[in-house]
Amino acid sequence: MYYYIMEPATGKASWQEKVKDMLGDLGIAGETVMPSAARTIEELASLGVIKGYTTIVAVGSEKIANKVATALINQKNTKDTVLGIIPDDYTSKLAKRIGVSDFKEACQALKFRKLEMVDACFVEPNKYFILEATIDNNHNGEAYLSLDSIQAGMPFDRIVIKPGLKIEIQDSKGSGGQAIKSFFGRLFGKKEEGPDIFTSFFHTNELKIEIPGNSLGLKVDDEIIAKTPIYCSHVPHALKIIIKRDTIDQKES
Amino acid sequence: MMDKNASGPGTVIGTNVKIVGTLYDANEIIMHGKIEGEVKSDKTIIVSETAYIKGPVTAETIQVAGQIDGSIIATGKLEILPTGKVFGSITTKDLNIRSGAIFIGKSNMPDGDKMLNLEEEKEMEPAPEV
Repeated sequence: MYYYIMEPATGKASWQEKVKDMLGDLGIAGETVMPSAARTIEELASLGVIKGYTTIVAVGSEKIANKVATALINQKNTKDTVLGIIPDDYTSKLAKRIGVSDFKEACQALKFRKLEMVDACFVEPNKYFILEATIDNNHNGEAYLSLDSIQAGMPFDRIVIKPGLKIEIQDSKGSGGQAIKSFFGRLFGKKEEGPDIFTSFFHTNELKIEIPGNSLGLKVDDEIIAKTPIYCSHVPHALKIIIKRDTIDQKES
Repeated sequence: MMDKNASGPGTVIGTNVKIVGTLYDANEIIMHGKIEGEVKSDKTIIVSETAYIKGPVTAETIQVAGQIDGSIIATGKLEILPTGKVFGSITTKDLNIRSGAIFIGKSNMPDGDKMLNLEEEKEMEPAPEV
């Protein structure tokens, strides 16, 4: 019933063994696979669905969880398939999202199977992400956004896109050193002088981002999943994930 | 239209952002940047000192510290702060213009029923040029 896809990571072999032992103790051990040059994470996830497993578990970073999620959403006939996650970093947004603070809690969450439908963001041609993706700008170029009924142009340092197509555009260059002032202000216990007038927030159902003269990467956990120009759309209720039973109030919105 | 979901987050437009089109949010809109087009909210629109709007503005409550070249309809309250500049007609039940503010245009203060009719008319007709 459980199909585990473990991320090959140096220095984490003992952690992976502990996870396997814990899964065995809880009675939820299953087939465990590891990606290789011959079989990618997406292929392994698809294979798990074809074999009839109903719980595909990503064991490792946000990167692997996102790849498994993409494979599951892209697969047809996966209505009964759920995504389980055992994160390797318990300070990560992924761990907070499922409400676990160590691998024991993550394994127990898998056993008790509280399911939650999550939204995803679709990036053309065939990528999805369930947490957040970012575009970092190391140049001085402007971004042009086309939302539902507006066209917007702006300088930016970083664009953060979250499912539900909540978009945050950070622009510290335009602040004229406000970020530095703010840092020293906080360091010396001074209160912030005023509201941040440089950061923008939008929310929409469809989005196109262009950076004229540049092709910047859209990254999920430091891995580029697409390059600008990108087209994103909101996919409500894209996938069922397993979360900790008592985390309803703790999860991130 | 950006979002009709009244429980969702609002929209904030940064000071270096330039927009063309119709900006609508069921929740609060905070404008620090520039827009050429209509701005509409079911709740509140805050036009900060650095903001410039060229087009009609419609919301329940509107606070203006920047510049608006266009008509304003506030079904609840309209406040023009000392740094605010409004060039266009305003329609509201509750108007507060602070000392130092600039307002050039026509002011209408209809009662509640007329206000509702005005809103409906506004939706039917294109925005008047100022």
